[in-house]
Amino acid sequence: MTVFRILSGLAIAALLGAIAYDLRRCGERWSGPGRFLRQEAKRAVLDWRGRKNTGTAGTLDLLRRIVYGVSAASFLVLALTGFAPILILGDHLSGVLLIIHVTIAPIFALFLSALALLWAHRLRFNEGDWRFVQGQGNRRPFRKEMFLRFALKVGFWLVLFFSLPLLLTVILGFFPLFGTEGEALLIRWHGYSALLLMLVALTEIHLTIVYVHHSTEHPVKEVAP
Amino acid sequence: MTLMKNTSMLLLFLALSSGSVSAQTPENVGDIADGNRSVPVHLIKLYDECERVIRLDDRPLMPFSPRETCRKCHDYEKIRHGWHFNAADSGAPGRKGEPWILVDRQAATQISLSYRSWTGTYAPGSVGLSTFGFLKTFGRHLPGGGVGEKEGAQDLNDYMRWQVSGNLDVNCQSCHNADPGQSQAEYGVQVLRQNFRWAATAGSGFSTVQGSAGEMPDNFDLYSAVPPEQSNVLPPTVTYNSSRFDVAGRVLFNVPRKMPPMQCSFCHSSKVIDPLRPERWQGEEDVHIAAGMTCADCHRNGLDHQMVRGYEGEAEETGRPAVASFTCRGCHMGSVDAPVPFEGRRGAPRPRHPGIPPVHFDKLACTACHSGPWPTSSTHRVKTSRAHALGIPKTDKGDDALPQIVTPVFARLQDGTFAPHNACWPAFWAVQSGDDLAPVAPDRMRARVQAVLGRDTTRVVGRWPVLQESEILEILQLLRLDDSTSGNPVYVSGGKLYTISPGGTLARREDEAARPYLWPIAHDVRPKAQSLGVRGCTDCHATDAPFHFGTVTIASPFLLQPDSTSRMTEYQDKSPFSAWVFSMSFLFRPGLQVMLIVCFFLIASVVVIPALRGLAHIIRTLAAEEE
Repeated sequence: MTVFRILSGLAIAALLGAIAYDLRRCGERWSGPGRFLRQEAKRAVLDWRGRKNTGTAGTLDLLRRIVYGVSAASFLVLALTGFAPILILGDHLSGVLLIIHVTIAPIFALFLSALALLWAHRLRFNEGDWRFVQGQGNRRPFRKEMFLRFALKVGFWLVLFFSLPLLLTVILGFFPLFGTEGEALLIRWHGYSALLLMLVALTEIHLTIVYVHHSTEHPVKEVAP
Repeated sequence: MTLMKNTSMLLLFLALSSGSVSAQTPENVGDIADGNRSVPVHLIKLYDECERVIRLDDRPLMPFSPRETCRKCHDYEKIRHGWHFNAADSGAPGRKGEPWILVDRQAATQISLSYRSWTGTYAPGSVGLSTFGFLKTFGRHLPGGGVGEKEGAQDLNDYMRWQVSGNLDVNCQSCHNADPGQSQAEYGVQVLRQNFRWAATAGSGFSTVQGSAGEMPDNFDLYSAVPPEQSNVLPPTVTYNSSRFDVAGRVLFNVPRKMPPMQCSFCHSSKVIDPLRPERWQGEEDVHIAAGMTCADCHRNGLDHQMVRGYEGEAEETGRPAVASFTCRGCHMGSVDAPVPFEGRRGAPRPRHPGIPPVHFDKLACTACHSGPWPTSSTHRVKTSRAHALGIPKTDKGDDALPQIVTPVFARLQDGTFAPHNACWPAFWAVQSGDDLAPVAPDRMRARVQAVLGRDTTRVVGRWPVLQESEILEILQLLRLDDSTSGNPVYVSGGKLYTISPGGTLARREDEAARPYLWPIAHDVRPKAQSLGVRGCTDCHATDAPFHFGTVTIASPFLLQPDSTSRMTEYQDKSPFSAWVFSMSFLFRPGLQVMLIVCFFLIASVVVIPALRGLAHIIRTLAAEEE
């Protein structure tokens, strides 16, 4: 518990510090994420109202964004309820926080699955990404948009990848397969998976905000999350 | 020459004195083990309380004193401060244990007493019980010692009675005599007769004690005849079974190293009143005893008789690290910090606890799942040796005999973990002055309560003299008339405190003094297959599971609240709503399991299928380049 507490504390602090630094470097004001959320909400309402005009593609696009939003929100609640008692109290998750955690967890799992299905094709790696990687090998200069798109794709697949041990450790814990030590190990792995997932997911959310902000200023043809 | 003679006499006196002193020091022959594992034969002479050897032709024939008999080889001074005898000593009280419960039906009183400073108990003196009175009431289940021989604690008013009865010294045989004739019941009867100095002899199995010191006048003298005015009663006399004495006047005591559990059971039995298992043959015994272990296998002690009580935290509390290895965890799970492994003692199996999240082992004592009766929708009544005088002839064998104690109540221990407890609700009259509550002695209240109750003899509910609100008010007013200066008269009952409101009516409120006295139980330990959780999470995490939502019966002599009840969560510092919500989530758990498995395979497919396709693409590319 102590090692995990220290590790997660350091990792979260480092990531939040890096995000804050990046926001400043990009010249974003601290209200950037808030403004982004408001804009996205407005956009979702407008899309909902105009869904009859945009047809199935428009509805699917709206659905993608809703799924992304709910997944991110439920994930943040899970991260908060899961890590707060460990980081602040150094104690197991229990009481009201546990109730919130176990209530939100299935919603997250459901929406993450939907996210995987809805976004996997759009965020698949393609020739363009391969050229970008090759370009990095040849130290060619790259466009910020290309980097962000590539990073978002990497983040998306890493989120899905780290969610697998996260889910598996919960599923295995449900069944009387492991003894005291095994159960403790499952919880430890659940914690470390959650930590990795959180680091990647927070980065992904940050990159999404930056990407959307960037693409608003420099419109592109393809829509990204 | 005279000086030399005097010096020699002085030296001789000092030598003899040092000899007699050494007989009471730790160098006593019986206290030093030489490593031989055979059991020493206790063929010994008996000594009376004046240290004289008992001979069958003595007149009057005196009872033998375990104190004087055993101290010839054992350090009595050290032993007498052990756990069973040190309640009245200052010092750490240890974890809360079973109190002595004073019951007086006629005074509608049931109150927990202890010489130890356990919160929720009262000192016996506070209800008018002197040490002599305490022994008369509870000495039946005491192994002597403590206040029985603490002359500094004796009330001057009882001085003459102490002279007649004698001290109630530590009765070593209570625990150490395995003779089939050894009778703690007989010992108890003699204590009730105030035959304190005769009690150990009577219980030994090779003597008969007749008569009662309680019936003797204050001026009764052991060495003279009974006064003529008392010729109709029999003074205490002892007759020994002469066949038990050898030619040297010695008696053989059966003193094994470890006593059988029955020896401890006299004072440590309990009977759960379970309607589903009313007969004794339907019950079970502790799984450890059933496996052939004895109480002393875990509850060990050294010469100081500081028994290992076996609860978590005892080692830190008492400053004896070795004690940690005698807890449930100690034997069954060991400790990674221990310098040498000690788990598996007596073949204790290491539990796997499959499927049980580790948080349970931080939040629950082992006893929560493994000890006491299996919890049902409401608590059971329980009778205990000490509270209900079990084992004493002519005791009330009714299932509803007072005091009313219920079990199991799942409450928090001091260390924050949950464990099963016995609970006893106080019912007593008291005078409140500021924040202080001073119980009124039942002797003082009996007449007042009876005066009120005497008007109607038809009311009988259980064994309590049922009181109505108006009657409580009347009795409180009588109490106030008696002594209006000492404070505000109150009655504690059924978890509430009743007092006279400024308007002259009866007011009731919650009060700390009205809270039940709870003490943790650890036995009987049930078999693994009867542990909570064996049928799954819903053994405890169901919306009607007894662990959180069991009904706790509140015992009360008050008519408006006969058998009123409360929820188990009230004793768990837990919101019933949050417990309910959490339990509710287990209703959806099977569906949740299926959903999570489906989600897992969906996400895994989304990750694995493109990965395999990418791999295939790489293989094809490499093959194409080769071709």
